[in-house]
Amino acid sequence: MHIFIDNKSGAPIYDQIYNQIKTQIIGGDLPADEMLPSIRGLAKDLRISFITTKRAYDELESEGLIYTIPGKGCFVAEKNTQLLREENLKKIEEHLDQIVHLATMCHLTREELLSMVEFGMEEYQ
Amino acid sequence: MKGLLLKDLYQLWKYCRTFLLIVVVFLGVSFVSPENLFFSLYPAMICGVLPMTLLSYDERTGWNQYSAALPCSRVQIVSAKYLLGLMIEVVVLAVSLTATAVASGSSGAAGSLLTLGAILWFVGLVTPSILMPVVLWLGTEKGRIVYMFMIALIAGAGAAVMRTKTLESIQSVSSVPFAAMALGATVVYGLSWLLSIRLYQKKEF
Amino acid sequence: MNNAIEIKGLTKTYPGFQLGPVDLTLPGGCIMGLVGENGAGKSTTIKLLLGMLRPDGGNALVLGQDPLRSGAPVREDLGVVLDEVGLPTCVTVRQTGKIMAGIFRHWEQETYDALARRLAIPADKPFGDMSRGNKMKMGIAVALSHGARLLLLDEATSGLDPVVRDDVTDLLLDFTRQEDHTVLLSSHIVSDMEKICDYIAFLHKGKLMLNEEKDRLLDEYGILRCTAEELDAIAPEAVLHRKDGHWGAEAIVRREAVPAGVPVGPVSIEELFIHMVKEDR
Repeated sequence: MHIFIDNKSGAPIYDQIYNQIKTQIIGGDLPADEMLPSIRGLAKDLRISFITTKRAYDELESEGLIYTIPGKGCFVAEKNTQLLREENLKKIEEHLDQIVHLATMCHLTREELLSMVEFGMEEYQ
Repeated sequence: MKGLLLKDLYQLWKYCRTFLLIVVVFLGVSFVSPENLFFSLYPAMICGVLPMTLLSYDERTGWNQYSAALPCSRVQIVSAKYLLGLMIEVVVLAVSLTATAVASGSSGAAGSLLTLGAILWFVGLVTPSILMPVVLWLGTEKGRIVYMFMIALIAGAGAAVMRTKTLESIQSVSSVPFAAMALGATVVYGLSWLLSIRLYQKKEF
Repeated sequence: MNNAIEIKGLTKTYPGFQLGPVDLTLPGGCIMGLVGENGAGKSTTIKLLLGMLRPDGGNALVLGQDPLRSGAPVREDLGVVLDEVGLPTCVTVRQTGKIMAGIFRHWEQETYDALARRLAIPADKPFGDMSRGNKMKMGIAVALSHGARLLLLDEATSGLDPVVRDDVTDLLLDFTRQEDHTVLLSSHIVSDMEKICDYIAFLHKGKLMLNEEKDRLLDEYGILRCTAEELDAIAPEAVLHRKDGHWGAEAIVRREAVPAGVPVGPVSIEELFIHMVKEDR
């Protein structure tokens, strides 16, 4: 597991931790049932506050990405594909909102936009 | 308590070596002229003010605040100083008496040594009995006025003793009233101890 | 978690200065930064917690006990570093260890020796000849060597160079690795300590202006840089402090009151404090 804290990025530190662990779980870098470092231990290693670290873990847990066994520690949860799909759909919608907004601003026609999407998908594959 | 005494002893050794030198010099003089009492009395008197000297160091270094934050009760803090005062007096008494006994040789009767010891004890304890509560309560800064007054008193008493009393002159006197004086001084010291504890417990830092 | 410190309605009055009423809780296992200008009442608060001062009103509980009534025993569990440390000027590292072994019931000589080595405190120098940094290290080494559960540091890091401050940060984080270990850290400047604090409290002229979880504080407030007109459009009660310049305005604002789309930048604890104090003037 890697975590890099950027003090100048402006993003809250708990958010940075949350996002990085999440990315590594979703990307498969952190396999299911792998034990995460203890909250106090991680706080010390990252030289940040205990509550900040706890908050990142709490959010990961509330999203079902990790689970806690009292007295033992926190572990990576089984990947929930349905959940991931829903989350990604939500992201796509958000981006689409922006795309449509920008497209209307520069008078892009529906055909032009669709062909751009098709082109993009061909490129990706 | 052990730690408090140890700390005082470290400081005593470091800063009060000059006192030690004075004691040695005066005892040396009293050795040469054993008939003059002043030289055996003076060490007892100046050693009586050593606990006050330590208190002023405590104030300057911030130890009086630090010790209040450590697990020492105020009773312990005050008691450590009074115990130290007693310890110093016992040492000075032992050294002075031994020196006098050796110097006067066979002429020093046991009775006169007892009288001398009682006088030394009295002189050594009276000063801290009066000064300690004042300094503990008001601090060295304000206590200094009383301190000066006491020094003047001691010097006066010392001068008087020097003029009138010699070892020979006390040889003829009964040692009983002197023993009573010493006993009285001890009681006063004890009362002063209790008073200091009361005053120090009310103190804020 | 039990509260390590609980202060309720605490007041202390001196001629020309009044502290409080202060209400403040510090949960066990956390680090709190008590921020305030010189003379804001930080030392007075800490001395009240130690029973060095008698409060005029209210009360304080330290590790669940009244410092005045429980007296010396509760201080076995406290590690205290005062602004001046307060050790005799003539003692060395070794002598200090001997003194403290006679004072603390659970003195840990090995911990102390290890700390003195780790912090590179000069072994043979008397305390009085040490630099401020080394004096503070001595105080901290003592505070961490008797099994304390609560550290009270009064201005212990001010006037130290960045490298020493970094050492201290590490020690504090080491200390709070244990779940029931708590730290109260007072300073007129938090800057590099800000990151490790769980809670932030602001004292200003004897009044407690703020006592919050740090992350919540940083979430709640932000810096808004915009034109004076744009700033005028935001509800005045959401604007903590504003500074109007030639080319635009800058303000500390409550994020929630700012309309979506207006970028609000992150604020540091120090900026927040300065703005709050200035607003009070």
